[in-house]
Amino acid sequence: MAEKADRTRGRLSPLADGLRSQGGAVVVLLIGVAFIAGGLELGKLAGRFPVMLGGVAVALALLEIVGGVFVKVDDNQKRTRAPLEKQELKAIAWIFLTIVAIYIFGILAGALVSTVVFCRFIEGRGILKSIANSIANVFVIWFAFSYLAGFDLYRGAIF
Amino acid sequence: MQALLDTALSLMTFEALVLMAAGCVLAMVMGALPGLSGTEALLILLPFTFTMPLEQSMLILASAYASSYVGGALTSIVFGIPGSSTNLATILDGHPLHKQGRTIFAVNLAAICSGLGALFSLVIVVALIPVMQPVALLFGPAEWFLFVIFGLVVLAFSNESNFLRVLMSGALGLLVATIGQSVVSGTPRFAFGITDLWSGVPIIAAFIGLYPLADAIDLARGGGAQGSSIEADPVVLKGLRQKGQLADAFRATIRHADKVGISAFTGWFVGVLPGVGASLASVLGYLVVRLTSRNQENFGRGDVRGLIGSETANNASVGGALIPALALGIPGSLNTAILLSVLMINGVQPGTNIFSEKVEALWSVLLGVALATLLSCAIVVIGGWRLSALIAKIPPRATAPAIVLIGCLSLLLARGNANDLIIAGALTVVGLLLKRFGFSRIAFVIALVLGPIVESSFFQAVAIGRGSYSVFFASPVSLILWFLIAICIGMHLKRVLFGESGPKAILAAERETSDG
Repeated sequence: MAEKADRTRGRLSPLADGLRSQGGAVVVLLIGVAFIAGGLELGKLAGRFPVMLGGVAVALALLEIVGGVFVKVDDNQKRTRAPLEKQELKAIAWIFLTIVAIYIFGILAGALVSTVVFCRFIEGRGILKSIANSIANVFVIWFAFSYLAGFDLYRGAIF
Repeated sequence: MQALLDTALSLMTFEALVLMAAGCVLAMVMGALPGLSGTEALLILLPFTFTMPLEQSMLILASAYASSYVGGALTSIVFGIPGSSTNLATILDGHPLHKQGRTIFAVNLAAICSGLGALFSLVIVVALIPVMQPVALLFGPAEWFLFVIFGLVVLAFSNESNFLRVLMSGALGLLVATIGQSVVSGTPRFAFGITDLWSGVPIIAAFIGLYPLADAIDLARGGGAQGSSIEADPVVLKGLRQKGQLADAFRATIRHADKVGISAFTGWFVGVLPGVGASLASVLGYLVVRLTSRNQENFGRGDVRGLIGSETANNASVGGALIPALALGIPGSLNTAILLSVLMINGVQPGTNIFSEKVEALWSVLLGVALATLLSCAIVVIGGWRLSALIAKIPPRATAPAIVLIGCLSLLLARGNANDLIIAGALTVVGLLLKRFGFSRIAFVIALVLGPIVESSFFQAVAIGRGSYSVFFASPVSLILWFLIAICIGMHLKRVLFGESGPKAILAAERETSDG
């Protein structure tokens, strides 16, 4: 029984591995289907191109999925799909914090917040050094873009 | 000719020269920093161009475009780390030359070959201008539509392991381009009531989100400075004091003039192919020179011909990429996609318009590339290895906040709409997912930029054919394009079925051999 299970697992593992490796193609398939569905509701003129492209995307995704099942996943692909590292997650969070901070507080205040967070939590510097760096950063942005180039810098949604 | 002279005179102002020099230096620094490239330089310079006349905008952007490849050669030679993917093949023979104490010779040779490659390709572009407009007229809506498909297939073919994924990326880009008002009927599509999306996904937001913001994550998680003291090696140190290396570099260029020519032509030709870009040009330039050389045993061990092959070709691709961009409006690379976007924002349509009514913009681009190439080569020859040692001391991670903040600033200055930040954030997620799953961002971006014109061309073609799709097979140009598409797909299938290696796989094997 245990031997049979092992043999079955051995036969299914490459298949399962192949299917898992095609996550991206599955997403493309779903996006293609969504655009086809949306395009069909739009009418003949507006919807024709999205439906056509959606069909192309679905066809390509199916080819990739079917092909991927039979092709061994190489090491590069395995490395690319390794779980995100802590530092990578921090960097992603910092990028989105920057976008939100700039959107809410404006470019200068947002830059201040962003640089402090980057220096403190990603580069691991002390809080005083982080603040000093961010003030210098903001000054450079103001000097180059507002004072020298004369641009009107965005002030944020709340101001 | 009169337009050329008028443009040249208008650019010979102190302000224009300062702008060009700024573009050059910034792009060289960006090109030299691993993880960054000329694209970031173009995006940083973009907001400054919004208040400039079109000719000056194109001058500064074209300068940055041309100079980044020169900067990347420095870190490839001195540190064995590619400044950008366009200088990958330069490491094979450039870095061994540095280890042999011939750093200044190698750096000067790279600069000379870069200059010659770029100038060669520009001469071809200028020579082809009289035929570009008639060729552009051969391309009706059906031919134009097929040329874009051909471009995406060629891009997929050049990416050996991910052919289908590149095509899927192109399809996704075209799908995202349908967001907004239909170019045919004006009906809002897939905007979900968000008025900022009615005019489609903003291209600048797409560039910023997919590239600098997505790449900043890799920079932010990267390590510290990679520039250890290059003077620690006594062989290198002795070589740095040796005189006459610039003259040696010139002599080597003359002695191997045939290799310079072969590599330049290879790079130019690769640059013409839509979406392929300078990184493949560099690799192919190296391989072509190697394959056409006798006594190949020194390649990968400091053979001068290897350095000539890679550095001439990547810069020669600059001029090549301008041909489909200016004649047909199809970007040959991401950087030309940015140049084209700026042209279109300023009301200049590539194709017949740029050759007739807006010819000053055309000459600004060409002159910008030519002058910037000469200037950046001169900077490298004068500054030499010291420049790369200085640049290498900048830790890549420290550039991440600057890149992100300036990217966001560019975005806000482009349209003055803060909601573009949110769109860029969403596209950052798309960029991260594309990278993670092995899809192609360049195919996505090119398809996104061209999407509206592709759709309108499709409908115009069908209208010309009175509803019949046979219009896509009607003209000789269409048939040639179908034939070329079939060849690319056939060659890919042959590669898949018979397991042949493409250029990058051969290069990877070369690196393993020379490292071992």
